[in-house]
Amino acid sequence: MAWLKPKSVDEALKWMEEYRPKIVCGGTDLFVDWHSRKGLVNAEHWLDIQEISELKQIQMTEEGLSLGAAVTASQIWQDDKLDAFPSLRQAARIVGGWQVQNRASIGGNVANASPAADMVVPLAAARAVIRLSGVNGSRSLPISDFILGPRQTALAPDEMITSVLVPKECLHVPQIFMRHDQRGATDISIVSVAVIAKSSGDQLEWARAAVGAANAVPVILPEEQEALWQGVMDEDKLTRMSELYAASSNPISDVRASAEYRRAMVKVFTARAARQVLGLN
Amino acid sequence: MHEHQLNLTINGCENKVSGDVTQPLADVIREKLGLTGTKIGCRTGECGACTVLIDGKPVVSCLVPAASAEGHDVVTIEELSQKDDFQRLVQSMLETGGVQCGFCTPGIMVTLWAWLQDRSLFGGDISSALKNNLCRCTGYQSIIAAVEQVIAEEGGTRI
Ligand SMILES: Cc1cc2nc3c(=O)[nH]c(=O)nc-3n(C[C@H](O)[C@H](O)[C@H](O)COP(=O)(O)OP(=O)(O)OC[C@H]3O[C@@H](n4cnc5c(N)ncnc54)[C@H](O)[C@@H]3O)c2cc1C
Ligand code: FES
Ligand code: FES
Repeated sequence: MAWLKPKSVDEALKWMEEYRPKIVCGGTDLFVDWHSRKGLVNAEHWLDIQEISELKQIQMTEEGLSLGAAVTASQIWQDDKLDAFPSLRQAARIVGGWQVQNRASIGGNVANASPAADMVVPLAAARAVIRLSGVNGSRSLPISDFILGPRQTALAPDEMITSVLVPKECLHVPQIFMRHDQRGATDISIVSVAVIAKSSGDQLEWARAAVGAANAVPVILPEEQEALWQGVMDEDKLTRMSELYAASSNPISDVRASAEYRRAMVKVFTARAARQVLGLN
Repeated sequence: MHEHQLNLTINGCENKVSGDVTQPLADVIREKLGLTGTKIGCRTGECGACTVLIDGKPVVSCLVPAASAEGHDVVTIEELSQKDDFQRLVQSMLETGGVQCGFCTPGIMVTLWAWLQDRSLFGGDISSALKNNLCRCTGYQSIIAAVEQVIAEEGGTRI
């Protein structure tokens, strides 16, 4: 068994081909209750990507805000560049607590594909692009083509996430992330929502939203429905929009909440988030 | 599983420990090095009893595979307790009643000490910094009072 600590993506890819290792970043998903779970994780070798400096950068580029896969939740809420994309800062601030945030990476949050993942929600709202590198080259996928189901992604066995790109039209525009949970502490979301909106005067030009924990994958509306976020938004229109999100959800019942309650909360929280972003309170 | 040799810097000392690369750092600290100030409450990252500093940042050591800590600076409560500013916090916790059963206390002390080094974090709100530390006894008020007392004694005010 080897624990590999590559210093660059090239080295990581070389070792990936050679050893077929399991990727690990912060380990906050992988190593939970390790003594009971280690028999279930089928890994001969490990590729620890935390020390690859190119994966730890947050950069403002021509295309938008680029976050390296190994960027941690703490790095996200502390970095000034996130002034441009505060919904992700809010989501990062709510992931576990300080100790978890100091290890939890954005790449791990996306790759883990938990329906309750928080940082994924503003990324889904912004139609972020997931950048992947593999033994056979690099590719980019919209997040909705990358997260395919609970713990299911489009990641190939010899591929890794290198960065996440938030497109520039979603930067420096009003936005919010909200989470409904039971304890607010080291808790898991019942329903979460991110809304990003661009207005001029009292006219809404466009809005994009995503809902987490209410479906196998984050809920976003089909284009023709999302286009209804436009014009003067009054309470009636907000209700209709939030009903569309509730109708597109297919939540589960678990110890935290019933499916029925979750669907009701999708409606409440999308409307509440939109009201805040649009200044309708 | 193969035995591996790991080089870990803990409290400024180089330690060679053997065992599985994925063994939790918390177990190495307690069982191999006998530093039992670090506690284990849940092994799921929720209780914070196993909090240590890695490169100055608090982390839950039950979720850190030992091999990933190689090349980093690990500091436990045993090392922190040698520091004067830590002892001031101890005194304050005794005075305000911040310790009851004491099981959460080492983890809480590590987190509090780390936050006191950079009080602007969490907008100056110490209770946010403690979100990952569970205390079932005190209700937190007396712990927060201890930190406020340390700050007041230094002549500062809460941010
Ligand atoms: C107490 C506690 C509370 C938590 N609370 C929350 C919460 O409130 N909200 C939330 O969203 N999450 C929460 N989490 C889950 C977790 O912290 C996050 O999902 C975190 O972002 C995972 O990142 P990581 O680096 O620790 O992942 P790891 O555990 O290292 O990896 C997770 C998975 O992703 C894969 N992976 C990691 N990086 C890459 C990459 N670059 N390319 C390809 N695959 C990769 C790994 O192989 C593994 O399968 C919590 C966890 C704990 C322990
Ligand atoms: S034992 Fe590590 S957080 Fe509880
Ligand atoms: S003093 Fe008992 S758990 Fe905190």
